Amino acid sequence: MDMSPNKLANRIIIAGLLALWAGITAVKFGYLTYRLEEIVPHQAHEIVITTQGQGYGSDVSIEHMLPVSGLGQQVSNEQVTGSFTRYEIPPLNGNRHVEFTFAGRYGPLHTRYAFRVKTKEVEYDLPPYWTRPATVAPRLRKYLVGTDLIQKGDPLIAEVAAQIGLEGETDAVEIVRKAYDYSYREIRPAGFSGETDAVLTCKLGEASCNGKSRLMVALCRRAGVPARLVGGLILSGGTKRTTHQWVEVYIDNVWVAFCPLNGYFARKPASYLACYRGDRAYFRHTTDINFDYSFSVARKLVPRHDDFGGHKALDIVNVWNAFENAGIPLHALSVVLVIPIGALVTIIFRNVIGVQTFGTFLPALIAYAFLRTGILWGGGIFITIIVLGAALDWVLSRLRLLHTPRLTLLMVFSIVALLTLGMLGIVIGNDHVAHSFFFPLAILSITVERFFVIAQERGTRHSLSILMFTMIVAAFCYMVMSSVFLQVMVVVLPETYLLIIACVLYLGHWTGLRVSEFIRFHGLVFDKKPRVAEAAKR
Amino acid sequence: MNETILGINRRNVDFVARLNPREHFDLVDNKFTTKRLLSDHGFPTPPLLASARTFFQIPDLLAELNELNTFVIKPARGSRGGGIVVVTGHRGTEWVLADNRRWSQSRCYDHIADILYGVYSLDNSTDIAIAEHRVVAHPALRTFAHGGMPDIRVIVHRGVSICAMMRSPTARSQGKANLHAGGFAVAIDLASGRTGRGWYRRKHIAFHPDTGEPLAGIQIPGWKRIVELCNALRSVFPLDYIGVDLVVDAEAGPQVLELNARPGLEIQNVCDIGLRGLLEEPR
Repeated sequence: MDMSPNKLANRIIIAGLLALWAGITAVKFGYLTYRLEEIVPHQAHEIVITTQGQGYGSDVSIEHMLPVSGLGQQVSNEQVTGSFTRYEIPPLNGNRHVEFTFAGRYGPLHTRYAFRVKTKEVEYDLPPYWTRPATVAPRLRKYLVGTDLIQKGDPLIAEVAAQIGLEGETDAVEIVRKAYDYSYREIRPAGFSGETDAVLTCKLGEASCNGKSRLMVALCRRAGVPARLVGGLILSGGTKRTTHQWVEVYIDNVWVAFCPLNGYFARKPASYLACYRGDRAYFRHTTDINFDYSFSVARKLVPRHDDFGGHKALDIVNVWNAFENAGIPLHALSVVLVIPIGALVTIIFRNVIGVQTFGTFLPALIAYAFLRTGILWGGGIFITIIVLGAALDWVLSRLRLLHTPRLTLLMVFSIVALLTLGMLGIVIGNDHVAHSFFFPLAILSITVERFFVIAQERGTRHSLSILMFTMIVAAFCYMVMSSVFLQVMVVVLPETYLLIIACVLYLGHWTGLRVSEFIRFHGLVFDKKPRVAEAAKR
Repeated sequence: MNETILGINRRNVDFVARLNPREHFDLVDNKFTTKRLLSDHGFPTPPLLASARTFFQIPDLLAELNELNTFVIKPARGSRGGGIVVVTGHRGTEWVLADNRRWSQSRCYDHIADILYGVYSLDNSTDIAIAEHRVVAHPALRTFAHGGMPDIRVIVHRGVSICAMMRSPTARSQGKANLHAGGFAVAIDLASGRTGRGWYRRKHIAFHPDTGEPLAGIQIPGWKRIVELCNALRSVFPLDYIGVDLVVDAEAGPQVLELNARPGLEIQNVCDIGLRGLLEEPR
């Protein structure tokens, strides 16, 4: 078939878009010397430390440690809120902490300390050997003493030190390797929390992070190498109550990190956030206030404020910073900006594969909702509400209601179902279920409505199969849309949209057989009889 | 590979979008308009008996229909045969349906209200309920008329009929002559108007799935007239790629029921031929 004028125009526009994209990309990466690794935003973490208590009229004080910027970690955007009377951040032994004071308060007390942190892995180059100095500088002497929990003088510790060959060893690198190997390999990791001292760790032969770390510190100090505990957090998504402890050893004038629980030797992974040095608790508070606390960690994409000096003409980072200043975080922006990519996935599924879905863009919008609720919980809750709605619809059909009132009742049902699930989530303390209320009601309502209309017109089985395909396509959209790489592409290189538009225009005139039609017409498609000639004779 | 199969993408881009201007879709999407145009231009179509556009017209419509013995109620903008009710008589105040169900007056009221609400309409917008004369199948087609009315689908391209089939109800389809509802179809030879092989549940068949009667070689009454009617529709409806649905009435002969601006593709399986080979042939 010859090409029609509109098809030709379509091809020309596509070629123009591709040329424009290539041109912008060439200018950015050639003339303006953009480099992809400079543009890509940081993966940062937003951390919230909350504490709670109960006031009975006397003064209450709550203290907790705060992270500081340093090697491999950069802290910013600190915010303090809560019901306290005042707070103070005094310097203390090089560590930082915050003191909240509640003066003569009754009822619930709470504090919230939020900050953003960018971390990266730190790898330390250990020298091949380093003879520990005979005398230690006065400021380091406290890192050699024994304590109640780090019993470097205990006979059991002496026995272990002798057994692993620390006695008489003067190479600090060798000492630290032996102390690490023993604490990491010979002591079994244990899940229990609570304080374990160095001696108890040896006796039990198993310990969690603090026991293993104290043992390693005790062995190092015994052998004359300065060592200290580090307290902090492991940055994994979600809400938790566990802190982590690891070890730093002073070798060749550098504090080098070791983790005898998770097996990091002379290495601090990007997921470790150091908050304080020394053997102390993360929280201190007035007793008998029913104290509780939690850490919540969320991943965020943040622009690289600092790395951008040049590129003034096309400084996209300034644009995103402007959005940030207007209260629209880059993360929220990037999640919206990938919706067209999800829509492109939907087009491919519908027009190339031939899968039926509810609504044209519903799969992409459902995937957008899943970006907030998570796909497993979000998907489960979504299907649950629709299946429960179908059961309700069966009951309503017995009442022979008119169409619109019936749909209205189903809408009311889905709102009540979301509320109930949200409440249930709060009661059982499952944040994923609680966050189901974030499921955009419009998207849920539209899907429920489509489901019932199709169930009514073409049967529940047909509607269920479309629901299944809608979920499959939404899952693919989710996979694409949750890709940090693609989020970064559209956010930092908005000309990526030109490529998306070109693809959509191409698919808009794509007239090939759908995969589903190969199945539908399989008897004809693979038939070699010359039917056209036969038909023309008629 | 057979290149002549027409897929949905190509049908939409190369045929529907190019040959059927969108502003004329309503002429065929709305049976009320279609019927008026057909009868205004002398095309045979089952006469319109009554209609209702608003809820306060429903009691009047019911009163009019209670006077009639037999009729069909349809949504004007229905799709896939949804909402069509064939009434064959009355028992007291109840209506007796073609499948022997009985509907009370309030059940009838609800059904018409559903139609007006747009339950069966293409885009679920509000609709018109129409009542038309009930067609009786021509005796020559009794093989295809078990439990319902068979209808003929002709694909017309630029005023030329290019492919035809007849759709027939089965016990499985509960009176509907729709393939996806469980009906079957037979190919029709365009030149002679004789039936060929059947197509039922994705397989070719030679015999009626319920009665076992042979399907092929039956002459459709008034076939020449049917092709003439289909080819002449172009003068009234400015659409160049349409599916025409007709029935053959025992007394009145061929009747045009409705037109479809996005005709389905299953006819290719029924007639065992790819539509592209027929459409792109210069004629």
